[in-house]
Amino acid sequence: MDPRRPPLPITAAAAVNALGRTTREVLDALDAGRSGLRPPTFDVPVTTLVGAIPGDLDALPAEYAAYDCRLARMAKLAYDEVHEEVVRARERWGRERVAIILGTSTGGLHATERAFFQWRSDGTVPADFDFHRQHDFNGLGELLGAMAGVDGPVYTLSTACSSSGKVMATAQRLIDADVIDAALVGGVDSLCRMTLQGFHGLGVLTDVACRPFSSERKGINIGEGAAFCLLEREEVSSAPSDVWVLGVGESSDAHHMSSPHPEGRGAAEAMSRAMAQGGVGPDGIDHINAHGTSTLLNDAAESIAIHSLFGDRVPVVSTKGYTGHLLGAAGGTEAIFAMHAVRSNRVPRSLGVEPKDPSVAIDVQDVPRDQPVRRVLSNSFAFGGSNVSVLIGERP
Amino acid sequence: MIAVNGIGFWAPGFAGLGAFRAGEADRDLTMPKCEVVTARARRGTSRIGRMLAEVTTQAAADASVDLGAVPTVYASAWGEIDIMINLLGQIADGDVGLSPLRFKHSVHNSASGMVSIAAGNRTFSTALAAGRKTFEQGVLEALTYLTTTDADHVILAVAEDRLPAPLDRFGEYEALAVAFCFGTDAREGAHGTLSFPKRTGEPFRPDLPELYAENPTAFALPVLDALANPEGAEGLALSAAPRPFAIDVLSAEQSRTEP
Repeated sequence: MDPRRPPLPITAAAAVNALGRTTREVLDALDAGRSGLRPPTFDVPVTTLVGAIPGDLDALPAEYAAYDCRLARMAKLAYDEVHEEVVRARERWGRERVAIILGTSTGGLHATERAFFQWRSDGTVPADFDFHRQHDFNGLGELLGAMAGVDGPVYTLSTACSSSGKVMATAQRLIDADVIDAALVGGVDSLCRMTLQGFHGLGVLTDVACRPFSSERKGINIGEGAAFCLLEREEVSSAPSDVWVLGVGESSDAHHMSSPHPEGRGAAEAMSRAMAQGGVGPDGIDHINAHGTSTLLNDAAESIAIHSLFGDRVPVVSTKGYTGHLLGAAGGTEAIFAMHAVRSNRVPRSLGVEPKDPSVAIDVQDVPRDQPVRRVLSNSFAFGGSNVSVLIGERP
Repeated sequence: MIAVNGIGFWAPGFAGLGAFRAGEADRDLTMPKCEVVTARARRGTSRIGRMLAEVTTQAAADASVDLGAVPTVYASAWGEIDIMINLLGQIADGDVGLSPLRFKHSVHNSASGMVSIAAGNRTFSTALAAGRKTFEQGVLEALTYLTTTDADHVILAVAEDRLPAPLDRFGEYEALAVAFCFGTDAREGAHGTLSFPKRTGEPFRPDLPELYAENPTAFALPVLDALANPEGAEGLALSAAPRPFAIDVLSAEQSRTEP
């Protein structure tokens, strides 16, 4: 069991996804209850909606051309928003004391798909395909490290859909161990054919917008996006932080590779561990951003887990109906939605929940609710039974 | 001090560390037994998934720790690339829905899932990648977990299989998997101890065996050598991040006499 850990201030954050190309656009769409799900604009032989970043993505500057791919372009769009704060942290703590810890599920697979299909067609791979900088799961970390000018540890967690929740725990431990003083953490994943056709093969991809916790839910939509948070050992005295990471709980289901434990045992353990680490009990939680993928099994297991700890007292929201399931970027993105809930004292609506599944005994929000939001649990659960719950809240 | 209480090793031709050190290659050995996972649960898994499961199991047994309770860190630069390429081949062949059995094992944490399910382990487990520095960053993740939690052991398993076509043009090497069971205290039969973190000294990177030189897991080999022969191994540098961190490798006997 993890011990109590000092809370870490979030000193900068940014997210881009189907809701917008800037954090402001993303949060405005969330507040407006506006979904970003649309039919795919690329060639894929399944009928579904996806959460794609709107518009074209700029190529990387020439000095980083070897890293240029859709994943890197998305990441740079979000990273540009936090760059100044990362540089400030670098100057504050030193180049070697700032880490880059990212989460991804498929990394640069989008670039590898293009290379593979060309190879199958004519036996060559594109001249601009750089496996080590584009496909490699850590290529993006290296790119961000170079753009940030930091020399601390750079590595990538890839535990499927829990990846960018677990990066927060890694940052906690690296800071606790006095290896670093600050970390840029987050998650990035881009849409690609293998993911869409893989989930189609599993029979869980819906052809309409997903409806988490609804009796009419038919499955998931896949999305893409990038989200970053800058975590530091101490807040900046001239700009006190209003939102902190208070705890992170990790667990394993030990049940099945692609289905959750039916009673949500691992999910409940992750939430309990996050609360224990943050020194709060269920009464201290004001809102839960659920994993809420909109599959029958996932929603059932998670609602049982939440009910076992909180009953129907805590307002629960899944934001998958806005962005689609961002896979390795889900945890980081939803942590930023949790931050926004704390800052705005507002629980967003969970799109498409009505009519709610009568077997779901938790309080899923169909309308936005203005209320005090001091602490939020943000859940992410993954293939392999990997679970993480991040406790985000106001200044402890 | 961090104790190395258990080691796991597998490479084509070598079922364990003893055979590797003796140079006794079995040319027919191309797949680990991976008996911890049932034959049914192994369906759809890759060789690297089985390699990681095999060395994790070996390290737990060597250290006499419970595989059902020990925290685990799995590290690989390119992970389940063989399954990814297989699935892309299905797409190129015109399949619409991909094999669920292969797809669910395409995730980087497939071995983490396999072992935790097989052993009933519900505690911490993670999977990471860091290119050529995957072994070093895996050490960092494992040791920071061990030194900042209540855990008394953690297993780091690191592996790389050969790159499949058409990606083999970006690196050719032999497959290799190594695991270490690190503990907060040296147990009877410990292989040695490491100091962590130690930030002195210049980076020292020993030459790597040519067969494995391009395999990111190969950086575990000098650590194995140093554990077997700690004389002169002080200051073995692991180049985690652009900045190296160093570890001292001592024999278990030496560590007991350290102040």
